[in-house]
Amino acid sequence: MNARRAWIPPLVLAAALVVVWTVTAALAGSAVYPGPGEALASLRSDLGDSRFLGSVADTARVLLLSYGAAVAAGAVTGMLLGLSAFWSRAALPVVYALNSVPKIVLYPIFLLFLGIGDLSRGSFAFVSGVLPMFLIMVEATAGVSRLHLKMSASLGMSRWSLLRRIVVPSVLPSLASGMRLCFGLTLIGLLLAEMFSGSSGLGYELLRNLSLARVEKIIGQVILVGLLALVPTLALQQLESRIRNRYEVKV
Amino acid sequence: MNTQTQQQRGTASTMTTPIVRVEGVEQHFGPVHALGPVDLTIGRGEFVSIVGPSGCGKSTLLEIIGALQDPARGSVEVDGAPLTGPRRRTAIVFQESATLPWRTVVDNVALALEVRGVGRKERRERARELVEVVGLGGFENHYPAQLSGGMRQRVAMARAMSTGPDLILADEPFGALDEQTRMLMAEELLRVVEKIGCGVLFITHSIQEAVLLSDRVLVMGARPGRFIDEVPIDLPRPRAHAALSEPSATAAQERIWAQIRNEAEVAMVATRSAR
Amino acid sequence: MRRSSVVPSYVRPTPRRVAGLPSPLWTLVFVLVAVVAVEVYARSGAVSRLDLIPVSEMLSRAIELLGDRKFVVDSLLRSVLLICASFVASAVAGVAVAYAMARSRWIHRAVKPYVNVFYALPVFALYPVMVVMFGTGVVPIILLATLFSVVIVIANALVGFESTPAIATKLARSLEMSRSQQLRKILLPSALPDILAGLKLGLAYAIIAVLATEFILATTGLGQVVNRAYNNFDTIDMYAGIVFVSVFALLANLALGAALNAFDWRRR
Repeated sequence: MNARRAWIPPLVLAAALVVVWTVTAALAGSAVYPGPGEALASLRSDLGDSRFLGSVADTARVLLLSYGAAVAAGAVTGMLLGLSAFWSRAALPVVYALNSVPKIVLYPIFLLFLGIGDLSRGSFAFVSGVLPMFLIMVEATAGVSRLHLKMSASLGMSRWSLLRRIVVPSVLPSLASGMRLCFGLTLIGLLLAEMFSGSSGLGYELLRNLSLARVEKIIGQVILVGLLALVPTLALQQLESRIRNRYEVKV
Repeated sequence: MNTQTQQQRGTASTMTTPIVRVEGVEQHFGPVHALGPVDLTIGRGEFVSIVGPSGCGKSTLLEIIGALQDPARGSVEVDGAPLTGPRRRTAIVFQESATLPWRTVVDNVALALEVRGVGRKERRERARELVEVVGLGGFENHYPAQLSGGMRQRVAMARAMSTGPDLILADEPFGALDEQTRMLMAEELLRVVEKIGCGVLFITHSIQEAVLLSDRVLVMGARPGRFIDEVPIDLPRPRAHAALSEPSATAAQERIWAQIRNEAEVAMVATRSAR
Repeated sequence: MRRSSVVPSYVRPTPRRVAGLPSPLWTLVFVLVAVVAVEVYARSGAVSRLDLIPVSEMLSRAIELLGDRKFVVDSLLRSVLLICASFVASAVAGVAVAYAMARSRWIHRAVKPYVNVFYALPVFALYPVMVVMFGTGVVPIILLATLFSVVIVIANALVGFESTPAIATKLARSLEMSRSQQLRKILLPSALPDILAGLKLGLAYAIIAVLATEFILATTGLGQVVNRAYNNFDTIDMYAGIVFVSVFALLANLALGAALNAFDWRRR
């Protein structure tokens, strides 16, 4: 399939949606339903506002820190637990249960103990990302091919050697896809925390505009958030497919 | 040309310590009595096959000899010494080629040497030699995904050879391959084993293969796995596929097949009455 | 007597028990230790009652809430209805879109990239937009929750439809089945395990979306109970609400999982 032609259908779909939006906005002609033009204009003015840019940079800073920490902590602890089938089976139900709860509802606990500021929203974003990352890595490590384990045993490989030569390469594809998922989840966690109780950051800006009913600002900023989330995600997707090509163990 | 018959080989092997001596080995998985008790002796340079229905415990026995499972009872001695762990000079070839998809052919073959601490340059040279020996010259830098099943098994064989084994344990190594490739690989294996002079324990479903390759064929029954017959194969070496049409070969295949069919019928009756 | 093992540790069979307990009991141990730790810490006086209350009090207040008619009707039932509505909507829409994608290569190519990146985008950011357009009633919440969970249903259902073995499609053609017969007798049953997996995730996501939205925007509902309690410094109700929400989410997911597993032919 021609790589260039693969882009046409999604673009057509997007263009169709934009057209529908423009037309319905023009027909509604209401202040509460702006069209794409107004939204983009508002976004452009926001981007010229240094205070707004400060909010964006603020969110980005906290995001990078909590994302990095979530990936590192989730991957390392996940792999360590995954090495033991027994303890994985014992601990996983608890973590899955924790993960199925809408974590934002737990956010007040963070606020009570860590105050209002970078630490509470940063650690909440961290928790939002570290749990899924941990789960993915435990499953991946537990899923290392038993055949490879037997082969390594027959060659007399030590545990450390096994980890380096077999386990880590085997779980790299899951690590890559985990990194992609973790990014989106950490960002959502951070924005929700900022929406709930923040004094700066993109989430705070969005909620502030809601209370002031400035819809074109909201839509413009939503577009911005979308783009900010999209670019790293696409990059991480690329990374993931490269790694899968090299390391995926096809049963 | 070397036309030692099985007789002569048999005599020769009884004069030195057998490479494998298994006595009274049993295996249980929970309440299920899967294997044994079995006794088995493999002489140095002797090629022994085990045929039997699926799930009768052949692989279990092989893994016990390879120190990948602890037997519930019994003793295993390899090269005169009880097992203390997977041996350096025992090489295992699995059914599904245990090649690592992220390593090239050369790096896969070199893995055994790498684990033993052999230096990079030396192990890659040795690996390249072996890659030629198994007929994969030109594919050194290919990845397993780019190879056919038969070629991947050759990589496994090359790796098995890399440590100069005195015992090869092969668990249905050609099971996943098509008929023609199996025949080629069987000839390949014969060449390799002839060259190294190691003992071989070979598990297979194919009676033909067992008769073609082995000095002795052991027939295993199921539930629990135990040996129900031992068929000596008295064909001259080196062997070729033509040998299969010899009358002694045909007779051996018939004898083995009769045993297996019997076992299969017993198994079917058992399952029918269990329903 | 057990002799020492010759097998390398990483290939040995996993033990059935450690210190006499099988793994499910260890799970229980972990939970109990955590609960007891929190209980002791809360009662110790080292932390203010405005920050943490004992687990026993959380549980007793949560049970009280179950008896409170106003809570049950205004908050619990409302949230449950919203969750059900969005779950059903996303289930139907999700499977339908996935089927459309499986049938038409153009639709597949058009929609697939968006499915892949969807969960990277903070869909919650759209809530303010929906509120402004549709008011603060149930519509924005249902819309958002449906949107949030439909994509995971699509992703899983699509995997299910596309993993129908080619031989089954050939069979359908040789039997001259109509499109709808093919869907009902071949595609749906074959895709069912994956569709069920998608539905379980869809419910989990619908619950998260509804409760999170209620929580942030504090209109009414289960999520809002926690928000209001937090803002009123009412730690007792806050923790009771959190416990309630967590247990509710867990039980709902387990219940659906158990119910759907009955249809999953892979698990037979």
